[in-house]
Amino acid sequence: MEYDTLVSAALIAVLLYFSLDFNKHYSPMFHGAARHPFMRFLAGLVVTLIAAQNPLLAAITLVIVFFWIADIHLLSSFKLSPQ
Amino acid sequence: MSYPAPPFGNPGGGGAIYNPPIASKWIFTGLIVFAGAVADRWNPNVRKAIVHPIGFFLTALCAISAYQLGFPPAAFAILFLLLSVWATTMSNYTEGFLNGASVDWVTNGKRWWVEEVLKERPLAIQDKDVATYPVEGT
Repeated sequence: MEYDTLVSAALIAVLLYFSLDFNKHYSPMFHGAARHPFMRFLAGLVVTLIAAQNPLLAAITLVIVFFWIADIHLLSSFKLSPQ
Repeated sequence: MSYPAPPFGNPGGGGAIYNPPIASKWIFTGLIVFAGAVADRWNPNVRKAIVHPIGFFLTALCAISAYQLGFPPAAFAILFLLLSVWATTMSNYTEGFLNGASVDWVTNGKRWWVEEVLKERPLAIQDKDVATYPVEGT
């Protein structure tokens, strides 16, 4: 398996981790860190450094960083089973 | 004795364009990322201009141009800036409402008399039901 495929799978796993916590923030520590400008700067810098190597991986990383900053849960607004 | 003037912008001579010995593209990219990291300190009017559909389109156009010019990190830095500004603006819109509570967004422009008098423009309503009780002790 190629290196890019492995990294893509890992990033998508992280993406799912940020999406599957239904009822609360994924982590108080992550949530607090997302409000800190220096941590945001580091995250943006990581995205740009990855973009210099592989734009596709950078796109996935950008989505993860955006979910982290905006505190978005993909599935939290939807009921998986009817009540 | 007079010396010939050096060629403009090219101290080394020849036909190549002189590049300063600094990674100017990366410095510029870092500044864009920094601006995105401190988006909550910006003037709200500037943020609104960027989040406006026209501003959003133009900023995205800048990102696409940077990508087409052959420097993807700058393109992703601009996208990071755009998403940071959008997230900051949206979080300010919902400020004051409790997390987890259901919020009804005000979608029509018709306002109540009290809102017109007090010059209020509510974005959303959290408490729709008002509990009233009969007067006691009279």
